Amino acid sequence: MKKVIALLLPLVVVISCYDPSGENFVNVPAPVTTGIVLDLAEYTDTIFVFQSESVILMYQGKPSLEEINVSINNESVRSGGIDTWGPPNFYVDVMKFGTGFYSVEVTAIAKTNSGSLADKINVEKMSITKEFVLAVDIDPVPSLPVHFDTSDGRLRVSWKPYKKKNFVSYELWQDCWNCMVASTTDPDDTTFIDTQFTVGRTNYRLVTVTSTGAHSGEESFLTSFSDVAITSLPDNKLELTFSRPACHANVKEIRVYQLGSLVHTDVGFSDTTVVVENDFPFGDRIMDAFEIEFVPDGPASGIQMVPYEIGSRILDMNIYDDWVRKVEYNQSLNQYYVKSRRYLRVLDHNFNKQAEREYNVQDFTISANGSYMYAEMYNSWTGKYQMCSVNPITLDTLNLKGFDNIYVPHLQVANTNYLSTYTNNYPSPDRHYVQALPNLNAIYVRSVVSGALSAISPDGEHFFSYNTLYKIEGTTFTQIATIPVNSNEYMAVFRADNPDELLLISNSGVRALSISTDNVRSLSVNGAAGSWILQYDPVSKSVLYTGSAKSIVLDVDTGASFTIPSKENVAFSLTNGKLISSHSYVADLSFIKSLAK
Amino acid sequence: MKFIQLSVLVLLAGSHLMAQEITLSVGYGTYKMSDLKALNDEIQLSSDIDLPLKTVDDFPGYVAFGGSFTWQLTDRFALGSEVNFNSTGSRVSYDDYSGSLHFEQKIHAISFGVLPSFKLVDGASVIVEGQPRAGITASSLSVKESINVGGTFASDALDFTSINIYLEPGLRIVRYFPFGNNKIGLGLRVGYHFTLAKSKLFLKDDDTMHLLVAGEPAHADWTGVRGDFLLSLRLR
Repeated sequence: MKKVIALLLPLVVVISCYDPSGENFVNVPAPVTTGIVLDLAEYTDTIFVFQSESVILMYQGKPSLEEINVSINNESVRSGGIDTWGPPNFYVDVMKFGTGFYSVEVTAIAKTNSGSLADKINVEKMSITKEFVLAVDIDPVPSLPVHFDTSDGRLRVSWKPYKKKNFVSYELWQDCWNCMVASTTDPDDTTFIDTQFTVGRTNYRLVTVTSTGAHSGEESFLTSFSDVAITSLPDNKLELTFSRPACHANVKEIRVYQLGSLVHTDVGFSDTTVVVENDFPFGDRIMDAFEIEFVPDGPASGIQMVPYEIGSRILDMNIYDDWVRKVEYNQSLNQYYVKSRRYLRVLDHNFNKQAEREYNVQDFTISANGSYMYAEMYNSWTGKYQMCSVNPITLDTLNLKGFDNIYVPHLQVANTNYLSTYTNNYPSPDRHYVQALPNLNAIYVRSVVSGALSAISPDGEHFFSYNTLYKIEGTTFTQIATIPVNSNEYMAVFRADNPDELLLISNSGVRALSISTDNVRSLSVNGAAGSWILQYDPVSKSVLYTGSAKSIVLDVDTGASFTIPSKENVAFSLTNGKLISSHSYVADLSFIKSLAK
Repeated sequence: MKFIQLSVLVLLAGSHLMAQEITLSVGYGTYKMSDLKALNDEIQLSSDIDLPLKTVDDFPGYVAFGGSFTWQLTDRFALGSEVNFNSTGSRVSYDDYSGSLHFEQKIHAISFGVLPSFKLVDGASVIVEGQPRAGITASSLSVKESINVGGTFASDALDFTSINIYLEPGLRIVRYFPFGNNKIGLGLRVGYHFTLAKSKLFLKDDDTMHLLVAGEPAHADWTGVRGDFLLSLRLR
């Protein structure tokens, strides 16, 4: 019975049990899927990163954001719930990706907030997926040089624009690391106009500031000077002529200084020529002889140093072992013979060395005549001075017509018109001067010790020996006058530029004897004591006294003299109107004479 | 069950002396179920989900089934026993496009009672009897919460039981028909069921716990109108 009831009862219950029914359907609007914004907060559709950084996302919409999943190139970089303390974001590690383009997929999962049952129990979600492009650029910022343009008279500094997205600003630095002259945040603003630079040397450096830091460009230098020329004027003046510099539009005023003193001002740029007094001594190049200050409209200033040297030309005579004692010019061969302490050198008309010979002699003098160079040398074996000719090309010593000794005071004339007599009684040691006349193949020597002094005029009509002036007619010497020779006079020379005068030269002065009138005029040279080189130049009509400390040039016509300071035993030679120093100067003597005080 | 067994034994003991009648009934009952209705209200108010829940089925009346066996002890008095089955239920519901949330109560009861029957009208073919029934009702309540969202179904149910005593006075009218030698009769019965001595609805898995509504123990209150169609069969 129990079992029957137990079996039947559930059946009865199942069949006859009330089953509740009914629905309470509420019309809930479907979830809102419009008006939802999923974007990048700081970018549009492309993310530009130049260093590892967090990319911030922006979400707006009725559904409330719960989760953000981000993958870059199908590799998840972020997944899970969002932070409550800030906007949603994901991190880009640039080292993981390197420079290039990558796809970014952002999926936002949000609660629909529809109010439905599923929403109430938090199982109704919606997802929004959006794709972006990730542009990674970790290439180094290029070092941008700047370019200069002065075509409009101002200094226009420009550079190529930096177009990458990580651009922050440009900084333009001038002349030093702490002198920023301009800055801009506009990547296309790539020009700066310098209204201060006039002349000189300046440098600019562009610094490109990006989000990853400041990147300094290479320095660019600009050198701009005015062309300055110095011309010598009569009356001991100099004329400075300068051109408008490249950045002339920046010049408001011009100031000219001579040896530190202001000598000229000009507002604007009307004057390009300034005349000043020539106060410069003969000698080395003076680097700060002039300063031309180009003053802009501002605190800066451009100063141009203008060097100046007395002389027409600076040469490199290529004499680098010792100083020049004498230079002779051979007009026939257009050669210079330069005697230094140890060497005898031949230079061409451009002062290029053609031959060189070292002589182991104490001293020798040289003289040039036509195609010959004559040298008197001391022969240490014999203890006597030896006169010889020297091949002016090879500098090989040749015997002059068989003589090796010259006796003074007898006339020794080696030309076809006169008898050449030589003796062996040539006193020594002695100091001799060899002088050759350009139109005569003649040699004259003078012994300082014996007092013998001889000379022959260029036209061959007069002869002076010891203290007597002779008239030469054929082979006859007719005494004209007796002219005592002072003990310190050791050079006699007939003026090639004035056949009427015979010069007797000592280290203290010159006596000019008129052949026609027997008149003597004396020209003194002060401070020439100790001179050991005397040289007469018929072209410049000057006698050069060269000592160890100074040299003096004496004009035999006017008696005017000027002193040339010699530094470090600078020796001067006078030849063919040019003053040549062992300091490699060649100067036009006429020009130098104009400086005589 | 023992009571049923005892009743059957007593009846069978004297059965050879008395007229016997079996009656099957199909009827309808209404049920008060005030506590369980209050439970529905409480569910709506205290739901964790902020949704407009609504009671869409609130313990309506429903078909009832029963049966009885009586002995005619005297001409006017019969005594027997009966068994009845009643069920009803309720549903608190929320539905929208995304799914549904239902909170259902299904309750059924099997009643076992004593059936005294007092003949009021003893006609040739129609008999009217007064029947003050009494017995016990064994109730079984299933409380179930189900949610169906997006095709995913989840539910949770708790079962409760209780034993109550009832009293159901009623009136029985039966007409016996000539075919079958007046042994087959069709009739009606109407009555009013009172659930007395309501006991708590104890959790089936743990009878130390019982259902509370508003902090008070809930009861299965089957009080209500009863009405049945009868099919009687006289055995003797």
